[in-house]
Amino acid sequence: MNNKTILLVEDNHQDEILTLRALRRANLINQIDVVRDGQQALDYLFRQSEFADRGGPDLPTVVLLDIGLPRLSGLEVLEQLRADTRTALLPVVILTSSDEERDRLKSYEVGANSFVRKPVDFAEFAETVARLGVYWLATNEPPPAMKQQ
Amino acid sequence: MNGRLAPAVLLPLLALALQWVLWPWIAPFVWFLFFPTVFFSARLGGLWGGLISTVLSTVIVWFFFIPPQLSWTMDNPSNLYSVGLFLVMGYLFSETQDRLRRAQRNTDMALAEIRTANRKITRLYQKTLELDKLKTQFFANVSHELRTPLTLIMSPLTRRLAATDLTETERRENEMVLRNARLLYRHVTDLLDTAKLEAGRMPLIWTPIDLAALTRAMASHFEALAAERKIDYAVMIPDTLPVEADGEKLQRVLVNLLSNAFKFTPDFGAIALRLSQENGHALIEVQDNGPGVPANLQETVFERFRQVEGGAQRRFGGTGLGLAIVKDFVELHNGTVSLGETSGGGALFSVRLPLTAPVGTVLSAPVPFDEVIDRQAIEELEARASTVALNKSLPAADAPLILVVEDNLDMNEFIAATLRPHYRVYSAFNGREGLKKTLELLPDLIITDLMMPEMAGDDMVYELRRLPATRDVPIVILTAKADENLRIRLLREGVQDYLNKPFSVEELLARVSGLILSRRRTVEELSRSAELLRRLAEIVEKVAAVRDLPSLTNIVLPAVRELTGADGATLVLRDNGQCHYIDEDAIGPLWKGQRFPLESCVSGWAMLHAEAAVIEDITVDPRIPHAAYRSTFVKSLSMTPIGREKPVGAIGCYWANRHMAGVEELELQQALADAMSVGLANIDLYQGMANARQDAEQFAATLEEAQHLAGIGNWTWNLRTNQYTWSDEIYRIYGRDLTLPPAAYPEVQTYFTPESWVGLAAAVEKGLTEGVSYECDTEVVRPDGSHRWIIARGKASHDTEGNIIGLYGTVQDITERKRTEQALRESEERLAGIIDSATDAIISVNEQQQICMFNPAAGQVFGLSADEIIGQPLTRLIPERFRCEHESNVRNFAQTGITARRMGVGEISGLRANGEEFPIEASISHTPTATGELFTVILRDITDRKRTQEEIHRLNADLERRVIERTAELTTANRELDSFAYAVSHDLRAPLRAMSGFSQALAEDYGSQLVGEAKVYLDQIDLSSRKMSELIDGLLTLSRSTRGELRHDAVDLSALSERLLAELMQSIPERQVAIQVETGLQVYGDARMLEAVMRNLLDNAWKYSAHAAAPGIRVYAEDRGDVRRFCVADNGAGFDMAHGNRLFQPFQRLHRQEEFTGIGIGLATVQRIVHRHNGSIEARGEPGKGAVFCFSLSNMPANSTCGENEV
Repeated sequence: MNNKTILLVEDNHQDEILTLRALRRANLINQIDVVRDGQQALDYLFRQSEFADRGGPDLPTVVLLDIGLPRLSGLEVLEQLRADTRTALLPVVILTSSDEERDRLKSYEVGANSFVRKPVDFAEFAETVARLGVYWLATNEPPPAMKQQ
Repeated sequence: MNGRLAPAVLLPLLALALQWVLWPWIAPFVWFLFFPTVFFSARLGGLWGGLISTVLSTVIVWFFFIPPQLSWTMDNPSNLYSVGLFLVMGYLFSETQDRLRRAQRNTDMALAEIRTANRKITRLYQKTLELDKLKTQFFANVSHELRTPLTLIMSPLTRRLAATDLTETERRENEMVLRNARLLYRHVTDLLDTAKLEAGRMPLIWTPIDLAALTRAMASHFEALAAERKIDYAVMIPDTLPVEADGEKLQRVLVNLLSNAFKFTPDFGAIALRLSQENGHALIEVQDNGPGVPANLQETVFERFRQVEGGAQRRFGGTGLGLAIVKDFVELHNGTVSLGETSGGGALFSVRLPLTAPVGTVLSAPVPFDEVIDRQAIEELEARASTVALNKSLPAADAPLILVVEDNLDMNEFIAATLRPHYRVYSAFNGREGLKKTLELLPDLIITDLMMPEMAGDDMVYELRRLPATRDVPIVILTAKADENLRIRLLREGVQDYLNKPFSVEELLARVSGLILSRRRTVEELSRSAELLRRLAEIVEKVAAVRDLPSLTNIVLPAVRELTGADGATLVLRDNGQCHYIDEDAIGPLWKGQRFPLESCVSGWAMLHAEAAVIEDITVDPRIPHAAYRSTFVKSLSMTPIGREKPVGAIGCYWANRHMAGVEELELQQALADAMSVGLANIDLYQGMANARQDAEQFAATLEEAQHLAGIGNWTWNLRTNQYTWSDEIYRIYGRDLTLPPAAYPEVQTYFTPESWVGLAAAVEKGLTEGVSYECDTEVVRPDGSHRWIIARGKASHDTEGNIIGLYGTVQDITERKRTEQALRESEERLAGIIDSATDAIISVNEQQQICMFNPAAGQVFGLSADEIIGQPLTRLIPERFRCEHESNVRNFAQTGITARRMGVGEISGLRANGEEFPIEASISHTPTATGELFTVILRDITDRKRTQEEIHRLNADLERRVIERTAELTTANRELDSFAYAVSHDLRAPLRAMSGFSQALAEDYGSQLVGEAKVYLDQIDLSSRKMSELIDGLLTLSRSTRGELRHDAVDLSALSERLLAELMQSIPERQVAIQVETGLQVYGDARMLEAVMRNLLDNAWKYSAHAAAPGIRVYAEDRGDVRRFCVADNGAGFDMAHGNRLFQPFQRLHRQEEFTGIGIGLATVQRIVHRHNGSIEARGEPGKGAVFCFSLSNMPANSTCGENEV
């Protein structure tokens, strides 16, 4: 469980702080990497550009992906991930403030594993994020290729 | 060839050897032996032999003999000349010899042929001679061989006849056989003599005889015959006349001459036989007064086989050898025979005989005469005399009667006997007798020979066929004359049969019986035909009296059935293009009275082709419509058209059994059809007459009626009798009592106004005196005082001399016309008033497009006065560029036949007098008048209207442009709004979350360090951010309710309400609210939006009933009219209806926040959604009593696509 990592893609610094705080409060000690836009997310996942020689495992156990991101939107990132064989099965959770139906529909269409709305109320928010962390890191079994690592 | 050429080689070599040996003697003649060599070589070897020898000899001579010898050189050139000469000579030799040889060969061949031909001719000649000899010999032999058996027949017969035990029949038959045997014997003898004469082997046996005695004896044989035939038979013979002659031959001469004379002399004629001595000759003369011999035949009568009356008219049989034998025999005696004419026209035969035999003739002893010949000659002539005895036919009741005409007695009797068992038989022995008896007896059949005395059979046939009474009697020719041409001619002339002798008895009987039967049948048929004819005549007679079709049908159709023997009949009449089955036996109930197209029935076929249709088998004939007669008894039929050229119908016969209508049946049918045709024509005629009478009566009635309708009465006035006639109408016009007589001339004055009478009386006077016709408009005053206007017309009538004898005329009531004219005038005046006062221009043009009416308004519009423009062409009012088009428009309009038409607005223009063009609106109409079409145009100057219209168009265009611009703006705004709403949902929340998150983090992490009111402030931050979040959510919901596509789902409002209320109760379980939801509330709409509606309404109800003592929420439906409304009611705080209009506005609240929390956007959202469903919503409330929100949705929500531009 220790080598399981989470990639958080979030451009809003405050949301990042609150998310990380919520995860820590949930007693998750796993490494959490944060990138702030879509392109960075791809670079990180494919170990390219600035992340060409990043350490740690190949891929995170789960990606928490916001939709409204600079450079590449979350949905575009997800599309590219699903198009690449290496990341086609990578668990991705859309974590967004939007409750627009079209976002939800589109997310599932391009292959999101889960769609979670960030509640405005912090208490709810913290609980939601904590549950997400526990679920994806402890409860959920990753796809076979990743389990070998 | 080689053999013949060998000498050509050998001879020169031989010559060389000889000349070489003898050279000393021959030299210097080098060619000495070679000329003969070449000559012989050519003779033996022909041309080629000669040439070879020549060349060889030349070579040899050159080498061996021409000096120098044994060398090819030559001393003297002249030798070369000799060589050339030799060669030429050699060639000439050879050629000549060759020709000679060929000529020789040809001559030999010709000779050989001639010899062969000669031999052939000789052989043939010999053969011919032999044949001729053989023929004569054969002839003689045959004759001789025939004579012997004949003799052997005659002798026993003669003996047999002498016997006494013979029956009459036997005797007659035996006599017949004997007679015919004798005849044959004589013919054979004649032939034998002829043959002998021809062969020159007729020896005379010269004996001394007494020619007088001989002649007398011969003459005596004929005496009985002469007596019988009442012939004056004069015999003048001296006592004795010794001559040296062949007695037998002279006997033949005498018999033949006498027999000949008797043959050609009619009964009661005269024959003279004279014998005398004259200049050392005996002269025998036989004279008759028969027909004589024509001068051109006097030479030929003595030729063999020649007969004067050649052909069939011979009165007697014979071989034609008699006179030839006379001549030959006389000439054997060195005598002569000649034929002359007597003064009476008969023939005179003279025979001169020398008295003595030629010198050196050995006389023989007399030989006995051949009696057979004499007897036969007599018998032949006698046969005629005994005919009467044979004419005894035994009549057998009413057996058919047959006349046998045959000159040969035996043959006649034989034929008669053959027929007698079956028929009554009469006999005649020549044509004339046959003719006479035929006319007397009218036999059923005649059997006749051809070659007969008096009148030949063919002449008799000709006569019989010419006579009406005997024209049809069947005739059978029975003759030995096998002449094919004659046979055919006779058959053509009308004989029924032609039999050759010898004939078979059975065949004759068969033919005779066949002919008699057919004759009987013919007679029966004739009488049947006569009967038919009589019946037909009867029918025609009846038909002539027929007046209607049923009677005609009742006469003709039964006749058709009865006379044709058909099993059924039909009568079809042509009715335009159809067959009308008037009466019908075959398919009566089905077809009678029916009509079918001509092409589909066989009667129609007969009518269309004017030809009888004869159908033997109706199941196979294509003219029969399939299955038409199938169910009937009919198997065969015939249809005969009625009327030969243009058939008007058809008569048909039906047969139940297969039957082919024959020519006669068809003729009969045709006759009946003709009768029918006549009958139909009669009916037409009769009905025509009846119709004419009816028409005349009707005409009179119609005239009366017409006079009444037209208001015209007629009258006459006879000046001589001073009588008047009035038709009823005059009474009516004048109002005179119909029972009164017509009013007389002066009296009639009372019916007119005085002014009118003056004119009328003057006109009448003029008519009476001068015969002038008149016509006056006159006013009538009726006795009841009412006035009428009439036209009184009158005309004088004249007698043949031109005197005026009366007046006649009419009175026509024209009151109505006068009134109409008056009304018309008034109407015209009114119309003129309208036209003059109309504000529209009204212009009329005639056909020539000349203006004939122009109203004042037109004058104003065009700037012209009526006086200026009337009579001018319309085109003056039309701008130049429209004139052509105008003309074609007018033409088209005139052709459409439409009476009025509105002309295109804005397309036409007028032209004012001042040259200004202006737009007009016009309608055109045309009216036919007595003087041609009148076109009237009503037009209006629409310059102002046009201007206004153009302004409106411009404004409209502007407005449209602005609408488009605005729409674009709104679309953009809408899009922006959309983006805004989206941004709100994302971006407004994040800071809120931050505010809420960090204030809570602060409280959690540093709560213990916060003092005083710090904690309260943090709570306020959290509260505010949460409140803000709610607001955002509400706004987004409101926004979404007007965006996005509207779905059409079936929504169960009852279930939805139950679920939402259950959620609410779960959120605050301790609240006690009475819930009442009506079941089965079903609506159609967008399920998601309707959930929002119900959620808001129920939230409100839940919220505002919180302070009620016993809170209750009710969901139900109510029907108002045909609209179903769904209501949510509570008994909570309620509201004041005075503020009701603010309820549905966003962010408007009727309660303070501390009373009831809320952001004031829920009902706004509800109203939007209801409106999007084309529904309506209203609220009722009372403070403290509760509120009811009712909404309706259109049952079938409009297919709205996209919510627009409102938040």
